[in-house]
Amino acid sequence: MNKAGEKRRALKIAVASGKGGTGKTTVSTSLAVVLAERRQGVYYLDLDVEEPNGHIFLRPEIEGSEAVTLSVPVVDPKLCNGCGLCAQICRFQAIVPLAGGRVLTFPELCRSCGGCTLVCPTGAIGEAAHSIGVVESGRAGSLNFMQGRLNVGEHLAVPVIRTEKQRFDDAGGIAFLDSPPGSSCPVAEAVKDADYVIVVTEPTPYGLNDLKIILAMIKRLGLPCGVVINRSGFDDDKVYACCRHEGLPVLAALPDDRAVAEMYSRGQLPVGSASYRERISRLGDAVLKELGR
Amino acid sequence: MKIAVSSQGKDWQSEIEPRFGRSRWFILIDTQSRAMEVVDNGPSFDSVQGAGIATAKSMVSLGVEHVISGRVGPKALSVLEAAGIPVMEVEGGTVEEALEKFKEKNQK
Repeated sequence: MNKAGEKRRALKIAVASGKGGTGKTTVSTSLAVVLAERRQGVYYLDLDVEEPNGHIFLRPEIEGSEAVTLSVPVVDPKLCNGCGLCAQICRFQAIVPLAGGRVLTFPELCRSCGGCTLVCPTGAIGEAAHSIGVVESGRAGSLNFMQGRLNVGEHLAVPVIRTEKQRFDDAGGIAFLDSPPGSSCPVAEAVKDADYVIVVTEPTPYGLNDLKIILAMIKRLGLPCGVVINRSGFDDDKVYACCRHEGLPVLAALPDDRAVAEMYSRGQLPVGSASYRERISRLGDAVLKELGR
Repeated sequence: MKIAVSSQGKDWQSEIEPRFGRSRWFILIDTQSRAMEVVDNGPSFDSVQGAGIATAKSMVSLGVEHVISGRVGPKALSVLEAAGIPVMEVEGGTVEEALEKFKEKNQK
């Protein structure tokens, strides 16, 4: 219950994994769809901006689209004195002064630190906006939808993820944040201010190895989390043991089911199957219970 | 003329290094004095990104006038082109063989 005058915030539930391909998108889209049937204000944010795939299952109507840009240097050759200080401060080979005042820039390598602009003694370096991706928003039925997409050839996913979260109109409700795979910077950016992290794993040796890595990262970030075993029925015991050791709940074990795989391969959400829908519904309840709701 | 050849080793008989930016060594030859110099491209070779660009910058500062390599990437190539340094790409062989090919090509 919010105090009077306090802005209502959405409950942010991130869905992460260590290993890729464990079922983050399947689980996050399924949860979002099932909850959106029961209540208002449910959001799905696809933060896997290098390859957003939630839209394949949700088939949203896109209503808005806005570019994500970074500042990159622009050099006035008439003002350049060839001192080379810009290249000395740049750690990324993004600016290359050559003889005769000619300066090459590589915007796709630039990290927008502004160092070159700062050190240039003649003021020859200005800034221009370089588009690195896009954030789109829309609806899939009653579910609110957002996705970010990093342009091919660009390498900085984090600014797109950050911008997508900034543009999320956080006015209450529940938001599922479908995170990138792995445990590197884009994942940290996606999950770092979540209220809860659902970690989806598969009960295989690779799955377990990478589960331990992501759990360590989430522990470092100090976020509450729980584990979902997707395609269970193989080496589940080791996952249960790991979770016991970490003091974390196993929120659900979703069985390995050919019917689910068939629906997935058709681009259909497996919540079309009544038994799967029931499991997802119970998973949703389990998470809300962990959060005291 | 000063020529630089990307190399997997430090002498004439070394195999050409097919990658320009990630080449550990460059053999520099002065075609007039016949002098040979071995350049360690370690700092560029090791970089996380922009190895080709860093290597191209080295070529410029070493006064190289022609580059021989297996393949030069697009960013490195744009630096070499802007600096007026032509590139000859060869497939395999030793440093010595590459220089022979260069001589043949430039005698025509």
